[in-house]
This record gives sequence, C-alpha cells and structure tokens, in this order.
Amino acid sequence: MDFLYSEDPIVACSTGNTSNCAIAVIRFSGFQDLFVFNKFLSISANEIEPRKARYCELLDGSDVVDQVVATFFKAPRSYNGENILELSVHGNVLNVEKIINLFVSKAGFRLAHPGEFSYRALKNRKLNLSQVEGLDLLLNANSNFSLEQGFSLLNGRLQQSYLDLEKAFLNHKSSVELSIDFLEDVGAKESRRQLEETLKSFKNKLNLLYYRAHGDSSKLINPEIVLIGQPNSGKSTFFNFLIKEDRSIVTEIAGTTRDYITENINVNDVYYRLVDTAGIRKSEDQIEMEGVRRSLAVVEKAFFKILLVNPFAFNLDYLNLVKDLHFDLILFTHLDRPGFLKEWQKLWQHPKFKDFFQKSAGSIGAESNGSIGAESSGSIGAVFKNVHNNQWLASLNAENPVLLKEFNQMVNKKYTSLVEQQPILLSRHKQKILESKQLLDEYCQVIESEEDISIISSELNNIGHCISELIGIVSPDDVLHNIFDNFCIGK
Amino acid sequence: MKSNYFDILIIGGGHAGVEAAYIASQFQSLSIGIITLPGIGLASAPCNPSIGGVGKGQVVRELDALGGLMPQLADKAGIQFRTLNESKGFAVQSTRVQIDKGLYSKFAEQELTKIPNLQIIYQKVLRISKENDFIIETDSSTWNSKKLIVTVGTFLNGKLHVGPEQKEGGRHDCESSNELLSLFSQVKNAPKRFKTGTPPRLLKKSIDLTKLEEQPSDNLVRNFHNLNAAFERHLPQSSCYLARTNSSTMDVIGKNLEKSPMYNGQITAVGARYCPSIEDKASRYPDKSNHHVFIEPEGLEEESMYPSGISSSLPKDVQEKMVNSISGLERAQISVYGYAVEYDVVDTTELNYSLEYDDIPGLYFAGQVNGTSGYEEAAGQGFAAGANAALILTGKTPLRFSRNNSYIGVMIEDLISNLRDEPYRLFTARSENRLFIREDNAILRLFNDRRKLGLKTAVDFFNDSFVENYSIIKELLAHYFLDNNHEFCKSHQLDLPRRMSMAELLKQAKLNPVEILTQFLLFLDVDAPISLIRCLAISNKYEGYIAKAGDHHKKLEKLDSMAIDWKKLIESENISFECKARIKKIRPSSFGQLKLIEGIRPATLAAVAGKSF
Repeated sequence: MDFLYSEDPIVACSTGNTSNCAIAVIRFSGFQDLFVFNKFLSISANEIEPRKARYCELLDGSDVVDQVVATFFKAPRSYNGENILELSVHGNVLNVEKIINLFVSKAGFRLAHPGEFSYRALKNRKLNLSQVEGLDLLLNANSNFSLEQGFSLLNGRLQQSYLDLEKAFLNHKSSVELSIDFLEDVGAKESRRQLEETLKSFKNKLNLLYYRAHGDSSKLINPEIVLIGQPNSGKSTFFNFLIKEDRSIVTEIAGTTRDYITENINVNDVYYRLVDTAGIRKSEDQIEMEGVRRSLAVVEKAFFKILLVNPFAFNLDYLNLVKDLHFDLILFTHLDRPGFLKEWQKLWQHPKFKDFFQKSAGSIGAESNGSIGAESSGSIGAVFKNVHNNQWLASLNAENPVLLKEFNQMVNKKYTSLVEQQPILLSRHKQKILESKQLLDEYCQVIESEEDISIISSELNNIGHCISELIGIVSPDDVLHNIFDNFCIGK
Repeated sequence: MKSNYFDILIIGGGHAGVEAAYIASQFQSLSIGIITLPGIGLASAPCNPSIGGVGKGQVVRELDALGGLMPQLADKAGIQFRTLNESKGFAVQSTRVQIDKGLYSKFAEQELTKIPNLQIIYQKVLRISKENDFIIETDSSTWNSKKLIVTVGTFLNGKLHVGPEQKEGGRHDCESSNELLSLFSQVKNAPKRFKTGTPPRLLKKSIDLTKLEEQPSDNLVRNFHNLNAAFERHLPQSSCYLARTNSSTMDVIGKNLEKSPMYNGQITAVGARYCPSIEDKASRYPDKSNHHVFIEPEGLEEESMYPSGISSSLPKDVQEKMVNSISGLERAQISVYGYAVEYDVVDTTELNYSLEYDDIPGLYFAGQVNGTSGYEEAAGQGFAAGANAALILTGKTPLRFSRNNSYIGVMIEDLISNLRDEPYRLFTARSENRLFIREDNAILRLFNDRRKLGLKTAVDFFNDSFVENYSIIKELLAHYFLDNNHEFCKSHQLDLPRRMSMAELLKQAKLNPVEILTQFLLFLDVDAPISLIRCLAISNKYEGYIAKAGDHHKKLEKLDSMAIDWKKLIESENISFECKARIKKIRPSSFGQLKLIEGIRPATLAAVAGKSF
C-alpha cells in the first residue's frame, strides 16, 4: 500500500484490456492541468471544455498515433475529485498498451495500482468506505444479486439501513442516560417505559440485519459448483457434460493452481464457477496431502457441492475424508456398465455408506427404491439423489434433457432460497452485525441480572463501538488493505 | 498605591469568583482581590437552594479532594441531605444537599474575610483595559492586577423578563453590568445570547405541606468535606416536598402561552433543553400534564420556598393562577415572581485548558459567563482559573484537568473545544469514563493534582493518608483468602462457590460490597473511615468493567488521534452544509475533536474516518 500517500499523476485502461475490442477508455488522473496533454493532441488544451466529448488526433511528435475522443472532468467535479481526462481509443490491446506507454515515458504519468482511482475518490470524500466496498462488489459481481447489492452500497441504500440501526441504538442509549441523569424529572415509570420501548425497537432492527447476515452468503459473491470424487469417478465427464451445453459463453480462466480446473457456467442468468478438483484420496505422500487439503478447502467454501461415486471402484475409507462436507448432490456414475445395479445396491446398503449418506444429506433417509435405469451406451450415465426434495433421478446420456434440467433446477432453487433473504454479502459488514448481535444478547442477559445502571450502560457502549465500525467509523487501514488488494485495475 | 495593586483580581463574587479567590489566596505570597457588586452576598444562590446533584455531586467531591471551599460551605449550611440514584448503582450515585442560602452566603463571607492576603471590594466595575497589567476602573476607584479572572455570571448585558415587563439586570434584586464589548473590546462574545429562568418563590406559611409528599433528610448521606465527620450535621434538618402539576395547571399555561416572553418573540436567546420552563413543558409535551414540582426550603428561617420545576416568565397574574392550580398550593402566595434573564456569554473556544483567553494572556473566564449553568460547574471553573493563575505567578506548571479523570476535566474540555448552542450543564453522560469518575474515588483521582499546588495543608495530609491506606488495604484484600469454613463467612452466612480472595468475594453479584467490607474490616479490627471503605469496595467492584471499557477506549483513541485537515472537509461535497459550518467554526485537527463537535452526523464521521488527511 505504498501508493497511499503518493499523489503522482496516474494512468490506466479503465475498460477490459485482455482482449481486442472496438473501443477502450484510457483514464488519466491527478495531473495539474490539461497543458500536459498539449503536445500529444491535435487540438489545444484550451479547446477542451469540461464534460464535453471532443474528437481529436493523438500525436507522438509528428506521428499520428490514433484517433480519439477526449473528455475532461475538472477537479473537484470528477469521479475521484481530481482532474481526470478520459481518452476513448481504438480498443486493440496493442494500441492501448502503446498509448499508455507513450504517456508513461514522455508525460510523467505512472501506471495506476489496482484500485488507486477509487482510493483517491475515498481520499477526496467522493466515496465513503461502504461505497468503495460496494464498488468492489459491483465490479466483481458474478450474479445479479451481488451486482445489485454492490450498487445498493454504492448509492448508500444499505448504508442507510445501518444508519437507521445506529439511530435506534442511540435512542436506547439516550433512554439509559435519561434514567441516570434525569430520573427526578422524568419519573421511574416513564423512564422504564422508554427503556423497554427503545430496546425493543433496537432489537428488531438488529435482528432484521442479523437475519440477513447470519447465513452463509459469502458463497454468493462468487458462487462455485464443485465436483469431487475419487479418481475415475466421472468428474471430468460430468464437467464436460455441463460445459458442453453452452460452449459459447464459457471463458477459460487460466488455472492458478494445478489442483483443479475451472470453467464458468450460466444457470438461469447467474454465473457459477464450475470446479473439478483433483481426486481427493488418502495419501502418505506429503506433497499429495497438500493438494488434498487444498481441494477440501475449495469444496468447503463452495456454493454447491457434488460428490461423484463410481460404485464399481469405491473405497469406503474415502468417506472419512469427506464426511464433514454437506453435499447438495450425490451422483452415482457408470450406469451404463453391466452389473451397475448390483454394485450400486451393495454400496448403498453398506452401513458405512448409509451412515455417511444420512449425515451428509441431513435429514434425508437412505431409501433404496428409485427409478434406476440402465443403458449400455451414452457419454454419461448417472443416477442421483436430489437431497433437497428426496427424489431419485436417473439420466443416461447427454441427449437426455432430464439430467441437465434437474441439475439446473437444483442449483437455481438453492440460489434463490439464499437470495430471498437479501443476505448481506460483505464479510466485514457481516462480522460487525454478528458481533453486535452477540453483544446485544449478552447485554440482554446483563439487564436481567444486573441492577447497576452504570454497568448496564458500559455494556451497551460496547455494542455502540461495534455499530460505529459497521457504519464505517473505523480505523481504515485494515479495511483498505483488504479492498484495494482485490480491486481490478483501472477503476 | 500599594493596596490598589494585586497579583490576581477576580471580578464577581458568585460561586466561581469565591472559589477562585479562595484557592488563589492559599498561595500566601500572592495578593488577591475580589470585586463584587454591593448589595448581594458572596456565593449567593439565586436559583435552586441546593448544592450537588447527579454529576454535580461528583464535582463537589472533586473540589474537596482539591482543597476547594464549596464542599465545606455546603456541609455547614446543609439542611437536607440526599443520595440521588441510590438504587441505580454506585457509579452514578450523587449527593445533593439543600442549603440555607442565607447562611451559605454568610459562611462564604466569613471564610474569605478570614484570609489575610485577600481583599473583598464591593464596587461596580465600569471599564477594563490592559497595559502591562490589567487596569480595572470602578465607580469609585482604579485597581491594577497582573492576572484578571472574570466571573460575572449573568450580568453581562443582562436583561430580565417577567411577562411584558423588562428591565436591565442580571438578577431580580440588582442591576447588570455593561456589555462585554464595552468592558473589554478585544474579547469575543458567543454569537448567541443565552437565557435562563427561575420559578416564582412561595411563602412557606401559605403552602399546605400536609397535602404533599415529604422527603426528609437522609442521615446516612456522607458530608462533602472529608475533614468533617462523615455524618455530622451542622444545622437542624429540614424536608423537601413533592407536588405535581395537573391538567388545569397546563390549561392555564396553554391559554397564556403567547404572553410568555419566550413564545412571543420578546426573548430571542437560547435556553437549555434540559432545564425547560413550565411553558416549554406545556408546549413540548402537550399530552403530559403531570410534572414533578419539588418544593424546597430556602433556609431554616427563610419565609419562602423554592418550587423546582416550574420556572417561568409568564405575567404575574398567570403565575399566580398556575401555582394555585396545584394541589397543596391552592392558597400559596408568591413572594418573588419567576423571571427569565438573557445575558451575553464569552466564546469559550477562545480559551485554553487553564480557562485563560488565548489572545490575552493573564485574562481568565469562569462560571456562567462561559455559558454554563449551575453553582458546581461555576465553582469547578473558578477553581481551575484561580489555581492556574496562581501557579503561573509562582512559577509552577498549570494544572490540566483530564476528561478521563474528572468531571471538571470533562467540562473544561467540552467548553474549550466547542461552541455551545445552549447553556452547559454537567451530566454523567458527558463522561466516556463514568465507571471511573465517581464520588467515592475523588481523592484517588485528584490527589496528584492537589499535590502539584505545593500547599501543605490539612487537606494534603488527609489525601496522603487516604491514598496510603487505600493501597495497604487493597493489597490485603487481594491476598486474604477465605472459604466457607472461615469464621467470617460463617458468621455472615456467606456461601462461597470456592475458596477465593476477599477482593474476589467483594465482586460477587448480589452482595453489597460496602457492607461486607465494613463488616470484614471490623472483623479484622482494622479502623477505616467510611469514605475509604466505600472507595475500596466500589473501586474493586468496577475494576473488571473499567478494564473492559478501557480496551475499547484504546481502539477508539487510535482513531481519535488521527489527524484531519478541516479545510479539505469543508470543500467536500459529501458533507452537509450544517456540518461544514460547525467544522469551519471549530477547525478540528483530529478525528477526536471532530467527534466532539455537537451536531456532526454519523454519516460525516463515517466519511471522514475512511481516510486520514
């Protein structure tokens, strides 16, 4: 975070710059005045009026580099409160790079760090902490829901509900103070009435936020669907089966680790990251163990977990590794292999597997009946139990739409049920709300057992500190580190 | 003229002036003068005839630990003692003493007259100027002084209102002094004038006390002054009485509201929200007709009583009707009508921690002229100004009272860091450190400050032995272990969950730590005064809570010390106009100061907290 105190003029491409496109926007910020652009533009700086688009040529000495549209935002009336110039240039990656290099080498600009434009907006009071957090969420959103919540933070709506909570807190705090400093004026009965009423209202407001914060909504920010299973359990086949359906919108993300590969899939307009983990198995090999541990960690925080089981080659010890994960779907594969039914029944009726299934799938019992078909051909054959509605389903090949349809429904149902609660996504906010809630519970216990109002008031102050942090009255260092480290470059 | 020359001269003989004169004159090498208007007694009580109260009792005990005069006078003139908030826990318990106001004033005069290096001058000040020293012209002579402490109360350009009647004056019984500007052109007024009011006084013999609820004096309340025996009473004790307004009282007021100078525009000054006139109550809480009215004795021999809670500036006939509508007061006669007074106040943001005017070294302001209300607040400031003027003259470091350590510190910091919108009164809620700033531990909190004065009087010896005994017994409590077989536990039917130290035992919920400790020290045959026992038991009880709150404080302090650039704040588009105006006025340099500014919205704080400037 060494850029915190630097005020150099900065430049970056504000639109995506990993692939060629028609137009890219290069943004310059923090320069003294437009004079610095004079020798690079075919028009004089005086001709560029604030907030009016202006077509001109971009020059490097006498060479015309590109034809651009320049828009000037004069400080302080700009996104981040500094002088900003935006050049819309032709969006070829090489072109963008060439132009940026021109200004870095010849005009004294330096490349912006991730999040630096927004950081300056924060510094110049154009955005508050919660808005920056919202922006982060908005820019990196994978679903409409996190898109919306990001925007709700950015425009202050969520912040308003925190401010309302703080107001309810202050009302209760005031009534406590009233009972100390003005008891003679107000009278004991009225004082008690106010104490109870304000506490009730504060509790209600906090409980509503708590309801939105306590669920496992972090999985909604970048929802992942994870496949795990022993080697040769059919993970890759199922993976391919899922992505084949909508090849055109899939973008391959370069694997950051060799432990798993990922693709994006779209289910009912929500993007999910589909993750195929390396086979998780017990191993004596230290390095291998590390891989297993990492796979398990990925599975743990996933939004939707699928366990693939090949009944022909299933090692029951494997269950020890995955017994604490709550799977959304258990998929039996190799349906098309002769003798599937027999192998499957053997496994299914094994006490160890039964036990696992009961635990993993919560309340769902292990019934052995179901419509299980067997066909000898097709790219995938599977039988699976939908742990959400307790139904057995079988699908034999990719051409059979039932499997995909059911799968999509399952994923969407889980997503919708989580989103319906309007969960709060940001972990800092969640943490403060949970903490406030816990302190409130403790406070309510203190009220029951303690008659000393100054102790009660002191306990109440602890909740106040927590709420202050929630609304952003907080030492910013830690929060900023977290945010700007994650920022996409340019914004 | 040698006798016209002082080291410190105090203008005003109210509670601030008297306290300043008393402490300054303890420095025997200095010559002190106090100028006060002829015709009113020193330290008189023109409003409630009582000393102490919630938050204020703490100040009086702080003054006692510091060697002030108010606690001594209050004990001596006390005619009814009470502990407020008795059922609410030790930290917020406060002592309040009804005083015989005539005797209080008389005792003040006796005490000051006894002091050889202090001269009392009964004259009216006409003009003040400064060359090397301050030159004070009165109606009959001219005085010089190195330091000047101004404690003129409500007399700066004071104006009285009773219904449509108006006159110049700071009180019903005497004239006012001139405008501050004509006294001293370089000193800034606060932009708004303040207003305060007082209720009508009632003739005691015309009140039917039998219809009212009696509140007798509590003989278990400790005196303020530590050198007095804890429960000794110097005067016969008297009672207060509780009356209540009713719907016809409120009708009378409601129908005549437009006759009140505060509602028809005659008074434009700002009164305190916490001390509303009965007109305010009627208009602000129209649904409530039942308001408490405490009928307080003004003195043993005084003919009048003080009905606390119905301060008013309504016309005289309306005041009569209103009073007579109250049960018990049907035939009550008014001896002095209630009135409101408007007055100028000094811009206290121009003062430093010594209450010295920043741009005019040697000039101090204390008391109601600083926009505070209350005798105790005035005395606390008088002490700070008087002691600090004397410390500077004797070549010592001035005292800087900390808000973490005393209500006097809370008050001074609030005054100098903020322009008030209304008269300032201390509440316990103003302190962030209420569990620690209590009545019982005033000596522990302030003995160090007292010591810095370098005066070796009985107060210092008492403080030193108190602190020493405190640590000895505290040590004992930490290392004395008991279990259920212990004789003390048996004889007091204590049921301990396990073997524990006495310090831990005293923390057990549902035990009264003061009582248990008293018994325990008796059992050990250790002789300790009740003030020490209370301090030990209560400090021990709150120890854990104070530490817990302290952790949160540290976190906050880190944020509070963050530097900010107020100039950038007032340029920001995201801060409301109102907040900007306040920021511009106060010019905060840290987040902590910004937070203290009244009316700064949480949204603004959240915006600023995001990043330091």
